[in-house]
Amino acid sequence: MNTVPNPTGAAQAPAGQDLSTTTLLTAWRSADRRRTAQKRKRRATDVALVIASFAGAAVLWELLRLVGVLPQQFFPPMLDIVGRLFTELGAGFGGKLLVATGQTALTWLLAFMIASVLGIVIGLFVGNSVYASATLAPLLRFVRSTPAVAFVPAAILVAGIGLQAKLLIVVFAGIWPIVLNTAAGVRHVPPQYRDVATASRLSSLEGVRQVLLPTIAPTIVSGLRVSMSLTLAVTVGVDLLIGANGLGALINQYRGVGNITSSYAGILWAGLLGTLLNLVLLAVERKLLFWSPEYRRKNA
Amino acid sequence: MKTLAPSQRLLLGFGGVAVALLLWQFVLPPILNTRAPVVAPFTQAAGAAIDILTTELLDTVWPSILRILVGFGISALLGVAIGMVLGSIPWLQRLVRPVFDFLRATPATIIIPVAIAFLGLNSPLVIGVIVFGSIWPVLINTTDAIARVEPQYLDVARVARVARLRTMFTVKLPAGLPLILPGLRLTMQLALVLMVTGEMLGASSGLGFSLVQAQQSFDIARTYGGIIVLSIIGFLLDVILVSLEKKYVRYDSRAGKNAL
Repeated sequence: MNTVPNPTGAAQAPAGQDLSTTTLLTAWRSADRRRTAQKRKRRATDVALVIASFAGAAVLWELLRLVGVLPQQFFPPMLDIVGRLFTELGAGFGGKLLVATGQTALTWLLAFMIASVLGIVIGLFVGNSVYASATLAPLLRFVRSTPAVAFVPAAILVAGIGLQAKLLIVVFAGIWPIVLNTAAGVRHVPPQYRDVATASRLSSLEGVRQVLLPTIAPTIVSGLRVSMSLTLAVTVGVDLLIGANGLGALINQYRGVGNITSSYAGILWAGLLGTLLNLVLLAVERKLLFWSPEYRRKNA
Repeated sequence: MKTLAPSQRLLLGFGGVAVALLLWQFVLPPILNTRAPVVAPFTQAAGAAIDILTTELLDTVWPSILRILVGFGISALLGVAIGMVLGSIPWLQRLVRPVFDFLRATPATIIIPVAIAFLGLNSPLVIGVIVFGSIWPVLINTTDAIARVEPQYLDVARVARVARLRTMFTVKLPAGLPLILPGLRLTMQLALVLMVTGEMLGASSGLGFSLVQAQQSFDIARTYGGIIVLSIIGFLLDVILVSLEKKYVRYDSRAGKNAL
């Protein structure tokens, strides 16, 4: 048997002595165990940091209230806000918060799905054809720089004050990052990939499904991420502007009757939901894109 | 993939805009104005836009422009400055990052009702809402960019004995621009949305306010004219930011593709 250089440095074999398979295996196993322990420790530190971070923010909030930087009549104690959030959530669907959340979530989810599908389709079309892209580029550039909420009055005229008007606006707000990222992704596909698809005699639909979409998936996902934060902000904005339902309207109502603690509880809740959505999208990204070089570079 | 000559691109682009305007002028109004007039044809809307831009420049357009410039300026400066500090102090970054991520994930417009109670109406409200709601993309992208500068660049700076503060401005910041500028563009988009929403809800001047007024008095041409004016403002701001990206990020061909 040859002398194998110790790969882990774990087993202390004297120089020159043969390493049997079993010693190698134990060395590997113990290294593996150590890595798991390290990972667990790192995760524990992360959790501790998150707790410390939020606790620190709460303490800062209280300090600023005490000193008077944040006037007490507009900034209630943090514990009251958290307590109010739990009371509101405890009321379930008999309370107002979850109902309003449901209304906002419905608008957002529908709009985000429509924007994703339309955005990817338009993006593929624009990215694939130089003619389409040259024809649409100046128009799209102008249209997409319009702040979506500017359409609120027009959408009310056209579609009334229901869900349809809201969808029009939120889809408009969310579609552009997806279109642009998809088109840019298509344009940057290495030509060799196309050659491989042609050489393996894939039909054009198969080519799109098996070569194009997986290649550009990472860019599409980063477009979806941008689109998500924009659509969330715009959904709450149109809740405030159109019709009296949804999370934004509820927080406005609470403020109107002077119940500022409940307003803050609602904001905290919206932040938690936004964070949750972000985590979901990150998890999807990890599941779908763990292989992609861009994903690995970003998380190196 | 083949490329088109610039003249061809220009022609096609012009054609695209022309077709869209013709559709707006002649096809949309007959389809949608069946029960009551809800869409103004392009010529009327453009006329109203010119009217707003000429007769109401000082009363309606200028307040909005001032608010977006001040709000976005504060967001950009503060975001880059805080990002530079956080990016260079790893323990501080790890400590505040969860709260900042939380604030970024909060839909920005939701603070407007509470901000009205605190900041009152008009410019303080709109600027405050813009800053608080739009600072996060540029702040977080700057933090990441500064924290992840290529180690070789820093080695070179160390070997050349460049002072730490100078390294920050001559090495780290330029190296981070491909990430910082797309963040800045997202900040701008959010700032525009926040400006219009803020003016619609809590201002007695500005484009957002005048849009709501136009709709409530069924002045349809003005409702669409206001959109055109806001498009022009958004377009000009976008042109500025994109040209910055083109100027400073030319060494990274993927810049702008992965906004955020």
